[in-house]
Amino acid sequence: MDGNKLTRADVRKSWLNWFMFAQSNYNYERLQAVAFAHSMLPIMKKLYPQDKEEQKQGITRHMSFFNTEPICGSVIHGVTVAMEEERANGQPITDEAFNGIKTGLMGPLAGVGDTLTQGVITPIMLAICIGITNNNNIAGPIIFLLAQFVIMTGISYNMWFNGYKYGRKAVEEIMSGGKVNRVIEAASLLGTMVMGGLVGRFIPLQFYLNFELGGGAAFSLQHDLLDKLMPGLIPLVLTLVVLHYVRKGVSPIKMMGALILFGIITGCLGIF
Amino acid sequence: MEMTLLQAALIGLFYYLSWSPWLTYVGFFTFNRPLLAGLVTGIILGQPMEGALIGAGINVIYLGFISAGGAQMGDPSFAGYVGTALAIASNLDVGTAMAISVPLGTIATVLWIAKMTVNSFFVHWADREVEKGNLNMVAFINIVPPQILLFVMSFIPATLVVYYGPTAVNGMLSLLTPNILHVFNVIGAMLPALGIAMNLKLIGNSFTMPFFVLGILCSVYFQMDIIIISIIGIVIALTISAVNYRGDKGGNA
Repeated sequence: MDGNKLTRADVRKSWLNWFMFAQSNYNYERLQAVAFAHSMLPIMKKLYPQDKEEQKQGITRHMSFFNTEPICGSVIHGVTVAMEEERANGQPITDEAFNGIKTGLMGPLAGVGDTLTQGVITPIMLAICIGITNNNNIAGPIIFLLAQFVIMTGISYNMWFNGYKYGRKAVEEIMSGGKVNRVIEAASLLGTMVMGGLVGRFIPLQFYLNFELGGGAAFSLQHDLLDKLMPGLIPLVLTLVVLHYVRKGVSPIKMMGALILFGIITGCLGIF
Repeated sequence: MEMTLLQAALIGLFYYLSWSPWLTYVGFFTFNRPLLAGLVTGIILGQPMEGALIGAGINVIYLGFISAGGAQMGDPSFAGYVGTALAIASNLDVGTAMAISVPLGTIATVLWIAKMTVNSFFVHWADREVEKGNLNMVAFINIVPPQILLFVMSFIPATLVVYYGPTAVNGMLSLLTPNILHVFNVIGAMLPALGIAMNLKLIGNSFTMPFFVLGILCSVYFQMDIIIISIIGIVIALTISAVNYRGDKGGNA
C-alpha cells in the first residue's frame, strides 16, 4: 500500500474536472457516474502511482450511479477525496462505505443545491439584471454573467475544499445541526418573496371587462373593484392555480399547452 | 435584415457552447439563459442592445426555470438564441418574440432527451475500458463522444432554424393583425406563471407562501424594484431565522 499524501494542486485538479465536465455525459442510466469517476482520476493516480490494480479498483468503485446538484454537491466529492486519502494510508474503508456516503448525501444535497442555485440565486440575479436591461442599459446581461460566475464558482470551490478538509464531519455538521434547514428556510423565504415581486412585475394581466351602468357611467372590474381590493389578484390566482396542477404532477409541457390555450380563449373574448 | 450563413453558424455555435462543458458548469447558469443569449446573438447580428432587450423579454418566461429530475418546461437556451435571432432578422417586437420562442424552446427539449438516451451507451464503453485497465479512457469518454454528439445535435438544428427561419417568420407575420398580437401578449403574460409555479413547487410551503403575497403587493401596489424587494426579503429572512433559532423554541410550520 502506498502512503501518499495529496497536495492542494491534486485536489484542485480533481475539482476542475468536475466543475467543467459534471454534466458532459449526463445520461438516463447512471446520470453523473462517468463524471464522478473522471474527477477521481487524478486522485487515484496520485494515491497509487505504482499500483495499477488499486487505480482500477478505485475508478471502478466510482463508476456507480451518481446524481446531485453539481455546485453544492461538490462537498460530497471533497469528502470522498478525503476518504480515499485515508484509505490509501492504511484505513480499512470498504467500497460499501464509499457508496453509502455518496448515495446518502447526493439526495439531500441535490435538494439543498437546487433550492439555492436554481431556486433562489439565479432567479433573483435574473430579475435584477432583466430590470437593469429593460432600462436600456446593456450592463444588465454583463453584470449577470460576472455575478453568476463569482457566486457559483465560489460556492463550488469552497464546498469541495471544506468537504476535503473536514471530511465526513463537515457534512454531518452541515446536515444535522439544523444549520442547513436554517439556510434553506431563510433562502426559501427570500426566494418566495422575490417570486411574488416577479409575478407582480412580469405578469401584467388585467381584466378588460367594463359594464355600462347607464347614464354614461361605466364600471371597470379592474380599476373600480380589483385595484381597490387587492391589486395583483389575477396574477396571484393564476400562479396558485398553475402551482396546484404542477404539484399534482401535471407535466410542465402539458401545463404550458393549457396556458397557451387559456390565453387564446381569454384574449379573443377580451377578458384580459 | 439579411443574415449570412456565418452569422447563423456563430449563433448555432454559441447555442452549443451554452450546453457544453467548455464554459464550466456555470455556463448553465449564464450563457444558457435567454438574457445573455440575447446579448450574444445581438452582438453577432450587430444590434447588441436590441438583442439584450429581446433576450430579457424571452427570459421572463423562464424566470423560475428549474431543471430537476427530468421535469422541465423546455430549453431556455434554444428559445434565447434562436428566438432573438429570428426576432432581430424579422424586426419583431419583444411580445411577438416571446410568443415564437416558447414553442421553439419546447420542441428543442426533444434534443435533450435524445442526448441523455444516447449518452447511456458511453457509460458501458467506459465500464469496458476500465475493466481493461485503460483508465485515461474515462476522461476521454466523459468528454469527446458526448460532446461530438451534443455538437451535432445542437449546432446543426440551431444554425438551420436561424438561417432559414426568417423566411417562415415573415410569411407568418403577414397574417398578424392587432387582435392576434393582443392574444400573443396575453399568452406572454401568462407563461411566466408556469416558471414561477415550478419554482414555488420547490421553495414554496405553508411557511413561505404568505411572503409570496407580500412580494406581489410590494411590486404591484408599492411599485418597488426587484432589488428593493430582495433586500426587504433578506431582512425578513434573517430576522425570522434569528428569532426561530434563539434557544430551542424553533416552532414554525
